[in-house]
Amino acid sequence: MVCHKALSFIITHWFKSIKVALEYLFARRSAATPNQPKDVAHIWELGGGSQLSALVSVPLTPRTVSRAVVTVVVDLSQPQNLAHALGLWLDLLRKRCDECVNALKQSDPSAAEAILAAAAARASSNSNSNGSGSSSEHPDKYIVKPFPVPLLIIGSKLDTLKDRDSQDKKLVCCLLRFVAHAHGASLLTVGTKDKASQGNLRSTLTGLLLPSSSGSSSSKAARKEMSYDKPLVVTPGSDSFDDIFKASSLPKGVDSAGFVGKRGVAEDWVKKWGRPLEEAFGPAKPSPEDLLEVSMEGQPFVEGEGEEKGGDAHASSADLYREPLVDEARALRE
Amino acid sequence: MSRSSRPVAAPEVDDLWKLATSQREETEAITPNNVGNETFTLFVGQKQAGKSSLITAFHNPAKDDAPKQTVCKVMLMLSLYIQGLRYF
Repeated sequence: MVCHKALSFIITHWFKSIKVALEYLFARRSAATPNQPKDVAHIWELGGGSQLSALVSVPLTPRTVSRAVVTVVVDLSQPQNLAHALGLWLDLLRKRCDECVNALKQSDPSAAEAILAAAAARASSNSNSNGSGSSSEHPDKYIVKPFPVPLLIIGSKLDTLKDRDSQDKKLVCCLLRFVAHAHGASLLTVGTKDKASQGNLRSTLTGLLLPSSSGSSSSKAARKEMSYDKPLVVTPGSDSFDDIFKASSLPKGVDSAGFVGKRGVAEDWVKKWGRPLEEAFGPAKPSPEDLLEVSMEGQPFVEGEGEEKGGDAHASSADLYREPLVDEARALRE
Repeated sequence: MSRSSRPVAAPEVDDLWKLATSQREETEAITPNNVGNETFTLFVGQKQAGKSSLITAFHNPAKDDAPKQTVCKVMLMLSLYIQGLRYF
């Protein structure tokens, strides 16, 4: 009887949290014009955080890079980790995209050039930066380092920021806008209880993932919103460093000179943003998989390493992946 | 006389994904996939960042965030099986 209870307990609580490392689903929609093939969006979700980051090479290949869209989701309920998480994922994804573009260059140079040209055009489109829709050259054209594929940064759990101080909100907003603009990315902040932000999410994702079917509904596209008090909606090229670091919206402890120079964005922007974030929200709490990755110097798996280090790595990984529910069930069984 | 206690380094073994992708890249010519209106999207982020919720909000907005049904079915089947075993 005890065994049965323990088994039920383990199944109920443990299997619920299991998620496939790389989940796949697709979305399909009829094209805007009749007799055209349907739009299909292949959607991959990388589970397990940065521990399984090597799997980005599965959906991002030289064959798919010309039609790829990358979305980085950051947790706004842990603002102290924002700079670290963004730096980690953007570096990793840029490296993989560059590999794919370089591989494509060998076989189809024109396709590779088209990808890079589209990236440059996105980032410096100056689309409606002042509301006039003028096509003048973007002031940050030579500073921004555009991402090779369309990039969307989403700050989730916006509801958790609602009750915070306005200075804290300004800081988070400023950081997200800076990172998005520096990489030529789109930016959204989304809250589960905020219907407007959910609508922004759907229209932005539809525009990126199902482009031809969303042609007729372009009037429903999310409106640009850069106020720290509202859910952010920023399209690539619509922002500028002058706007981001405007004195009226600049949070305390942030100086634009440290982040952007004439030659481009500071290489160590993660460290520089880390300081004001730490002052406002406390020290960053890297996730267990990040700690493991750092300790292994980029090798996510620990087999064999523990023997040389007296089993410390195994001990630390056991501590990191402690499962209180399983331990409790095991104690019950014993 | 002295024997080295240092373990011999194990040969590097690629995981299954790496093998599969490398084989596919070797056999197939690299040509961009321009057939139809297809896009390939990857969602990444830290654990518990809200990736699945965002995908669900886009893919199936009417769905609530309930646990997967399949788990309940597995539990029910196992429970029935265990209870059945007790009678034999």
